[in-house]
Amino acid sequence: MDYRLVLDYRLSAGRLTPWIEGLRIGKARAHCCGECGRVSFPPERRCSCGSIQTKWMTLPGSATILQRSDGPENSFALARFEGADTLTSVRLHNPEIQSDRGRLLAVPEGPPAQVLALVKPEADAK
Amino acid sequence: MVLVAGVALTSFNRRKDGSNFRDWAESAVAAALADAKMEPGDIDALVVASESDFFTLQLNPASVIAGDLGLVGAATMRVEGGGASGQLAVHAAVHQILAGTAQRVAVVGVEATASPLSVNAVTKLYGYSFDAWSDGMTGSTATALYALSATAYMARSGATSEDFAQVAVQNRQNARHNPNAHLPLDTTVDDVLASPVVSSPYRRLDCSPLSDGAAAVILAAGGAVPRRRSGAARICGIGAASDHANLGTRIDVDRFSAKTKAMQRACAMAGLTAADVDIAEIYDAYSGAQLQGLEALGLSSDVLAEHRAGAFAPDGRLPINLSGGLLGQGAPVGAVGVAQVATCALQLEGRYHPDAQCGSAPRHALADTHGGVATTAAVTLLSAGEA
Ligand SMILES: [Zn+2]
Repeated sequence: MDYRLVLDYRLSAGRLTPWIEGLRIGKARAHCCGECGRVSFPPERRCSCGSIQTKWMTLPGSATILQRSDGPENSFALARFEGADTLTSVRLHNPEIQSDRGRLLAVPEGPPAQVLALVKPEADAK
Repeated sequence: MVLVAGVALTSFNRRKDGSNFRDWAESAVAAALADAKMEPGDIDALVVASESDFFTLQLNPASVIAGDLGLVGAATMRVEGGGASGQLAVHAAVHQILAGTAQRVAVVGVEATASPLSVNAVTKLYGYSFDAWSDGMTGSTATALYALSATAYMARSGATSEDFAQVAVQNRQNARHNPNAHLPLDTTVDDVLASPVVSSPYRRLDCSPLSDGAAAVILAAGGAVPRRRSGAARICGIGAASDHANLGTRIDVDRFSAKTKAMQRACAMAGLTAADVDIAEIYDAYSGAQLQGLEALGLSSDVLAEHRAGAFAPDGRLPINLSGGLLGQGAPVGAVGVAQVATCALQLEGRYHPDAQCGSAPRHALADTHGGVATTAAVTLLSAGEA
């Protein structure tokens, strides 16, 4: 039996809404812990020190890749955004470029996504 | 004391015969009851392990499965923890028995991962089993997230793609002696390395398949097993733990730290150490994850050297995944952990499939699962029963 189910969700990002709104315009909005100063991107709802006293801050948006995995359709990486103490998974926008540096890309439409545009080492240096 | 009074597995594969998850659950539990020399009326509680309603479009599956099995009136629940669901269901049953709220509990793990939805749809759904917002919506897949952890493991340990491929080859060789297995294959390291890249370093043959199937165990308090059913293996330790769902939040992205904690808890309960384990079923969703798991569980002081020397082969020091594991036996998610416990019990009783039976009369066995990239860890230690 074939059966098709289409579900139109209306999801809320809750307390992390500023992070999602930042991804839409290419801004890396992070949490900074008011207790220990740890900066998390994506923002942790609770800092690893246990505190929920977090403030919003905007990171520069540049990131360094630590691990990378390439597939036939998509490539992903674990990256550290400048100013963050945590790593995060990102999708690579232009995986054909071999570089360990990138910038957060604005994703105005569709599901909110952490997408990194890789930049050639010489372009990054300017 | 909790005894494994009866066990049964259906075949794991992609069903093309028009059967569905309720058929598989019914046949697994009926066979496990027969193995335990029990009737449905002997059962106080039913615990169902199933990862997702998306596969079956049946919410609250325990309610309908209880009716199918003649268990209406028994206490029922469904337990879910991603890939750890099956063992977490076993743990829930153990808790009920140890608390004295039930004497005999049927546990059935079932998943229709292969036949109802396309591979693309399942791949997308699985992305939501990590952090649905940061990983899932970004489009990250299970394979990519495991690959990122594995890449870090390779950099630290010196493990190579050949080492990973050898895990896949061995487990599928083991599966050739298991008539229930999904992928009983005679492959070589070169075959694995020549298979298409899914998400580097993982290639198609490094990945476990999507499977349909069910597994059941009947657990019972020491005095609640029919006298005709002697020599049953017992569960002597259970342990569970968790890690950050986001890989990037962890201190070491390549270490399966939740497994280490889960194992410590199970060993403390059992009064055993990792060195007591004679055989193990390890959660090899991906080839490299088996090596990462062996390290985290403390089963070897030098996993790579022992792997390369064949210590984890069927004739080695510590046979791993004699069933074939997820790579060879298959991966109907909710059924996996239950199947592992069933396999360990049969091995300890010496009545596993004859060509896959461990020949050295094992005394202690370990079943190891996790959900996420070792985010939700659950392990079970079993001991051979009294003859
Ligand atoms: Zn803090």
